[in-house]
Amino acid sequence: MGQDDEIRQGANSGLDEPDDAFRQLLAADRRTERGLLWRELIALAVVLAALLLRLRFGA
Amino acid sequence: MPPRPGTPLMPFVEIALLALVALGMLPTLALFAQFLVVGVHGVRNHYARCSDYTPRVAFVLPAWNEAQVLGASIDSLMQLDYPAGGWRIVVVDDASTDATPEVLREKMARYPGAVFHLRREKGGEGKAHTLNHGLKHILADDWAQAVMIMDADVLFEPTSLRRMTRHLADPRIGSVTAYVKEGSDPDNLITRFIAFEYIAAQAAARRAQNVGGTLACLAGGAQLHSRANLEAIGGRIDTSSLAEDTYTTFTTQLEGRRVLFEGNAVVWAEEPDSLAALWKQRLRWARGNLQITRAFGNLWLRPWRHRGLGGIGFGIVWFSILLTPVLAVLSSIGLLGLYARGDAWAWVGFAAVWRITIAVYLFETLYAFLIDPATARRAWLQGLFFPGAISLAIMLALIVPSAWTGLAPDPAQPATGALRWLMPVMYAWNSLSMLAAWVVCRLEQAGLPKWLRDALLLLVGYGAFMNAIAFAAMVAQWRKVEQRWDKTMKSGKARIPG
Repeated sequence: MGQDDEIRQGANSGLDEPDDAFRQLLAADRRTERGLLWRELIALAVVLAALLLRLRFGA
Repeated sequence: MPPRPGTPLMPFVEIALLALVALGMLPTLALFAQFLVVGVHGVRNHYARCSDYTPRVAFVLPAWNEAQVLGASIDSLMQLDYPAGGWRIVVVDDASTDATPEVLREKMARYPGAVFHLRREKGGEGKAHTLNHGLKHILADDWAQAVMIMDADVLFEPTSLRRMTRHLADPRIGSVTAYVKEGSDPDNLITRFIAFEYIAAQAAARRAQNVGGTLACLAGGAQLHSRANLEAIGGRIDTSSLAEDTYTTFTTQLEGRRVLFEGNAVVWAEEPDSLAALWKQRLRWARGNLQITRAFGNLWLRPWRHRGLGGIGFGIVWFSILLTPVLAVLSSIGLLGLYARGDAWAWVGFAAVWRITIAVYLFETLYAFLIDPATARRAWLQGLFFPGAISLAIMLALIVPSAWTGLAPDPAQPATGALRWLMPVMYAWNSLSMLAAWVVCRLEQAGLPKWLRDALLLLVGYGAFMNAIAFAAMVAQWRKVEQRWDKTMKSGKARIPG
């Protein structure tokens, strides 16, 4: 299993609750994090546009 | 009279003063750099190494007269979406003299086998002492595979624990901290300022630190440790400093384990709703950070000692933020020195500092709103007024040159008329604002009406208030003022929205 050997499996915890809550949460959170990248680009674009407008018309 | 550039005989003075001005920009640029990295967390995060790991978790709640908040915290913990029997709550009653024991008895009866009561005979020594009492008992048997250290008032969202434990599937991870959000209901201007501040200080900064691989601080309100990590750091929390959370964060990483921030695991806490209470809480934090800086003095800017904590980037950000008030004063000295010499560089430096500040302020505020839109809807005014109305006026004056034409056709020229006193005030505003914020706090303690306190806080800015506290912490440490555990009083008004 290579690297996966290092990953602890839920079954090792002694608890047993098979459901897909884990996968759903993980997928949702990955989407959220990827969204932050796009939001950052939007914020940067807005600030850059404001700076360009200031340079073009503000002097 | 034309502006007098630095004479050939005085270039070193001019350069030195300009260097001071530039130093004042370090905190702004460090925060900007942190914000720039946040988006990278979208592609560089720990999720690939998560698995459906649900260890048995012992929650340890230090409780020193927490009757008003404890019941709601326990109720929220019992609503967790987690395998049945997979968690238990250990309340360490720090010799409480209020109704804490009665609240606990009621909860133990309601949740049999899930809530445990440990009582100390001597209380009030501080959170770390109380935690250690609980940790000693928890680690004495092998039930707990992980331990959640929290505050007595913190309310956990149902999925928060599951979102944190999945990271511990990777044994390289020693601890995981949640996003602690301000949850006072009803709230006020100050708690909304804190709500916005936490977007920048947690949701943004800690994601950036995740990307860098080194976290500066685990939130005291929700930090999950693997049992192996707790045992590796000695099974106890440091009691020598006022920043036990940061100390634990450092020792965990020095022991070779990573510390992670999980921004999607949300917990809610009640934060101070007055300037005096906030001053007390943050003074403790700021003094603690100074103690940490000293305690780990052999690490800073020495990557060969520790790749992360000793990293150059981490060190620059740490000291830029730690020394913000000092750097602000140095910057003001630089600007005023140039101005006093009638040097044209005074205006150039001033305009450059504030124009950079404008760009960074616009980016950070807009991005913070986008990172946490729910908090932004509640605290948009506080986000916009974070630097204070006076700073915003200075920014506006630099964006709109026509604002000057009535007062000074060329602001680089020596000031006359009203500008004779206004220019030095503006040049020194980054320092004067700290003094003004301290005055507002003292006025509040003297009985200033809340509406007037709020108006003045909006005028001088929450950021200036934070800088004033950091400055006061330096003075307190320098004067070796006795350190004592000042508990932040909670009244039980935190709610999980929705």
